[in-house]
Amino acid sequence: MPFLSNAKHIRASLRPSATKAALAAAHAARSAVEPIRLSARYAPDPVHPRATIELRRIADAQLVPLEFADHRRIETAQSVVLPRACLATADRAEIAALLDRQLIPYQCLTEARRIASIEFVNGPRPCDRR
Amino acid sequence: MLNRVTVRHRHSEVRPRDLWIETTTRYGRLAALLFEPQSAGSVDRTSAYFALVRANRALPVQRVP
Repeated sequence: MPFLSNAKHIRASLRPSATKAALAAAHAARSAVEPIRLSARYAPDPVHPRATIELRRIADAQLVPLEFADHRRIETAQSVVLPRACLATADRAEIAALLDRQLIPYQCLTEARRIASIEFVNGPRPCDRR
Repeated sequence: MLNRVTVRHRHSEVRPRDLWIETTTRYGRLAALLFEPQSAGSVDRTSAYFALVRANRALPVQRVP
């Protein structure tokens, strides 16, 4: 079946609301467990380092097989598991302005409580500096 | 840029007017990356945030796992 006909057939068989809900659920499930890769690049694949693609030559309209380096493998590095939430405890006005500029929603907390968190300190630990 | 960042697990006192940013939404995920020390070289972060980071020894945003 040609590609476009196939795509139309599949689209017709999917109910929009069910598709949206399924996509949202899949996205939520994936983002809950999958780390985000901070860096990704195309790299040569040792299993199939070259790919042959037939291209039509303009001069005589003949299909000519040409060989290209195959860089379709995606190499990732630097994974980050996202937290459930972030908490700004200092410089709140500046952080709020930054979030507003990026259209990132946030809540201004109204009552004190105690939570487990992970804090980043800029520089080595005191014991590392000896 | 952050040359070296130490991670400290702690129990924080959350005070009124602290900012809580949910990271389950698309823009929330952007926020988590924005404040993630590891992403310093990969995400286009505003100079305003780096100015805060340079001014403070403790980074002003904590992660809630």
